[in-house]
Amino acid sequence: MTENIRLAIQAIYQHRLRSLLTMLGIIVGIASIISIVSIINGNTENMKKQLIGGDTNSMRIEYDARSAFLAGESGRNDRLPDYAPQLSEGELQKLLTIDHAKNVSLFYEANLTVFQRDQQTDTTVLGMDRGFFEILPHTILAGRAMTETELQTQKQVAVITKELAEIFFSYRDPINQLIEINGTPFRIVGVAVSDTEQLSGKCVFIPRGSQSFVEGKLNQRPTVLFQATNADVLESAVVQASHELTKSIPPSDFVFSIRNYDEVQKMTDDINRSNMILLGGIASISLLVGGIGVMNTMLVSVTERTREIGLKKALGAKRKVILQQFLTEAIVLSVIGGLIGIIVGLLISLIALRLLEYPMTISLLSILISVSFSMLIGTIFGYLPAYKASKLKPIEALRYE
Amino acid sequence: MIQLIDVCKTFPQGTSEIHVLKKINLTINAGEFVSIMGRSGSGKSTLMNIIGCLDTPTTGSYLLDGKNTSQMSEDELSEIRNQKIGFVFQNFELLPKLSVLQNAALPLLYAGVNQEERTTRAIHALESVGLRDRIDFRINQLSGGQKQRVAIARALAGEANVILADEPTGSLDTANSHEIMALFTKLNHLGKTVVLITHEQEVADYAKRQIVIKDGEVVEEGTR
Repeated sequence: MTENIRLAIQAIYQHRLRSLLTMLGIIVGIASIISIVSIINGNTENMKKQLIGGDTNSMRIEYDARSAFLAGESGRNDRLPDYAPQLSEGELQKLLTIDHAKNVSLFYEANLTVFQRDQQTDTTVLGMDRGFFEILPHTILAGRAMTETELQTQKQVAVITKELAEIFFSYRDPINQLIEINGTPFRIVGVAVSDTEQLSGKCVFIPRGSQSFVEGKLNQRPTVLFQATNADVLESAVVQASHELTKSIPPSDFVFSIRNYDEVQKMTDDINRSNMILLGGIASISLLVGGIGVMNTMLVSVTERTREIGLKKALGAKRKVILQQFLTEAIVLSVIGGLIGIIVGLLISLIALRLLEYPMTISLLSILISVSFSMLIGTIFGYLPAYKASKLKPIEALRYE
Repeated sequence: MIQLIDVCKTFPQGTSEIHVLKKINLTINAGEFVSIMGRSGSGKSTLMNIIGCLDTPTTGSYLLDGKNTSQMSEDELSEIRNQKIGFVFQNFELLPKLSVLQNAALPLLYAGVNQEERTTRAIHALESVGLRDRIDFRINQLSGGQKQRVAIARALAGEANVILADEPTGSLDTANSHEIMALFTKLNHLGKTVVLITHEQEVADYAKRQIVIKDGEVVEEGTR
């Protein structure tokens, strides 16, 4: 066998140009598989990170009423529970001990009608703390942000978003104006605009402590905003955080789940899968072409070496020996092509992923598949020429000019 | 021992058949030096193919050391050739990609002999044809006479008892021809059966027994 491989390499080396041109089909096929798989995976990872972590590497962990309900926690008249666990500051701080945790923030969110004099509009009201703006940065366009004291106490102050300010105060200065939320007046101290895409539209931010003023109307479900040090570790850290929250709240049937996580996972997986199917089609065509190239070259090689085959048979080589020799040559040819293809593919991947600023996702699996695929091509397309060679009659082959 | 009993060989040609060999009866004992002569088209090549187990008779039987090869499969014939017959061809039929040593060792490779023994036996065979100092040479670095000696060494390496030489001097000049024929004579003295196929009387004269073939039949036989 090693002898066969040595002979095969020798034969391939002897016809360097022809071998290289033959391998080109396989090189291109394998290189495109490797690079496209890497780019698609990189794209998917990138998309997933943007969808789940946005540009702030943060995710929301919500009290999931439905899951809590299914877990046995029922509300009035067998509806979903309309109360939620209270999270203490200590429990919140515990999340910061999770590996790669950078920041956490607890907030309450509700969709309420907000009044300003004779105007009214449906707005998202967020009862938040200091960490919230740290994780989801905002730029203050007018006035100021809420002070530490305001955030820690029950001050009835609010920061509104630019979008809401434009509705209520198209020509006037909103600072120090009052808005009314659920019958409670709040004084506007600033107008802000979100720096990220994770939060947009009409919003009123109030200190988390002031939520008691709007209690009853304000959705009491706490949401934890969790920020990781970087996008790569976000997923694992946030899963850990949600487990931590679920088990830290007695009774344990309160359930915290990661917002959008499953959907994002499923969506990106779907996109990935359909991309891969498309790619698989294209790649198989190019590998088929490459395989035909191998077969063609091997047929030429068999014809060229008819006398050699005849002599070997005359000297006692059995059919199997000849078959193995040519099959080995076809496989070696394909595998060398495959290996060059992998190297080229990896180089293309590295350059493309760097240029596209996608995360590095070079899959070992695609390399393994490529190698076995090129072996398979060699075997399938090399079989016919090898079989032809093995069937040659020694006298006819020796007479061949 | 080579025994041909009523060997006929026909080849189809269009709708008819040509009878290349017509009821050949021939016995060559072990240790003989025989030449088979004939013009081209006389059937001597076909006869050589049958003796060399490269082909089988259409009717009749061919016994090599008592074994009937007529009904053997291709792979069985390969094995017989490998073990019993050493071929020497007019145009040497050496593999240019391989070294002198590798060429000489080729039959041993197909006999399944291990690398070490292959080398030892091939070197020994090359030594007996006077090419001990050329073992690492490439084939194209050798002269015609040397090439034919490599081919003879290859026939010897496999330890075949029958050396079947098809026009072995056809591509050689006179001096080299004599050298090669002297080598065959020496091998015959060492106990090998040598069967020489040729159309040159001068070459045939080296053999102790001469057989002349014409139109597929043995027409003359004589010993020297």
